[in-house]
Amino acid sequence: MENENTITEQQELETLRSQMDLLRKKLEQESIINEKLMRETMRSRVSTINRQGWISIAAAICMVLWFPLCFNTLSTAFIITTIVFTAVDAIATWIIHKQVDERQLMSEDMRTVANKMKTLKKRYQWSTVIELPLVLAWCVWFCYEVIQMTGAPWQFMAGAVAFGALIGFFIALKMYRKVIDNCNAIIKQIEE
Amino acid sequence: MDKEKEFEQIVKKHKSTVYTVCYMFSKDEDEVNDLFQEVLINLWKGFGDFRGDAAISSWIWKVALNTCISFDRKKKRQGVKIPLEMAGNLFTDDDNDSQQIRMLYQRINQLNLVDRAIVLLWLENLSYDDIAAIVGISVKNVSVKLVRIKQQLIKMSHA
Repeated sequence: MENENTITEQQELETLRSQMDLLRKKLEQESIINEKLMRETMRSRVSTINRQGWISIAAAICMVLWFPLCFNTLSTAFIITTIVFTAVDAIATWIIHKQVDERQLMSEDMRTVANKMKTLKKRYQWSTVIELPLVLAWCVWFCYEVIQMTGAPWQFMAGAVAFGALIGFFIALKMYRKVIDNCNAIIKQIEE
Repeated sequence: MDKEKEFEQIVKKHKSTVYTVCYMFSKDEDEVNDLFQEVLINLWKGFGDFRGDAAISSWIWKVALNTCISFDRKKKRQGVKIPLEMAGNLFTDDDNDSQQIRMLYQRINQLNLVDRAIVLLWLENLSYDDIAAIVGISVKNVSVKLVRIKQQLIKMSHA
């Protein structure tokens, strides 16, 4: 009798295992992870891209507010140029980023998303190409202005500005790479 | 390999494990979706710190079970909902296989959360050592609990 019970129990447990196998087999045939889930991953990437944009805009606004207060002894032309330059940079960054709204990603078709990412990437690359020589020119002018104002030896000033520019360059390069890498990842994911 | 790509491949490979856990801890398809997303988020968060000390499958089981056990079901209606891509619905399909799966679900679903985790791991043919490591109890405790769970399951089939 006890033996019979053990056999029945064993059969019951085997039934559970076979039901579990059925579940596993059924799930193996399913794709489960869908396009929307993929979009959600992309959304987090676009969110990173836009965050970089907002950081740039915030930095530019701080520069517009802070620069005239701290360097009010520099020439008016230089101060105005700096303000205009940073304001234009902030507006350009906003224009580049405004077309990529992470919320829209969930509703737009993949081709549109890919095209938008390609446009963003191209604009971002162009803005960097334009900005780089302008920033270099600004650094030289800034150096000249400070030498005029303080009478500091130019070697010292050139070294200080070069050091500051180098740090700024590496931060900008890191942000640039992050945006471009994220754009590439989204485009690649859609193309695949 | 790109970290995200690597993660995607791991998730694809172990999707049925994650889904099985979510299914057994949910009361409807909506909750399965919520849990599935929550598990994926937690896996992604922990993926950076995963050093490969344990087998990847054990790690996935652990994260999935912990997420499902501790999931705040009040949160389920918040945020963007992403339905999973499934040809059928395990809660409503009427074919023979689905009925069998539902029988398993109904029995396991009557167990408490920790017992559910233990029996799922046992049904996946994991060793007692692995079960103990994943659930965080001693091997002896696993064997004692399993005896009791098996008895409970058999009783349910006679009820």
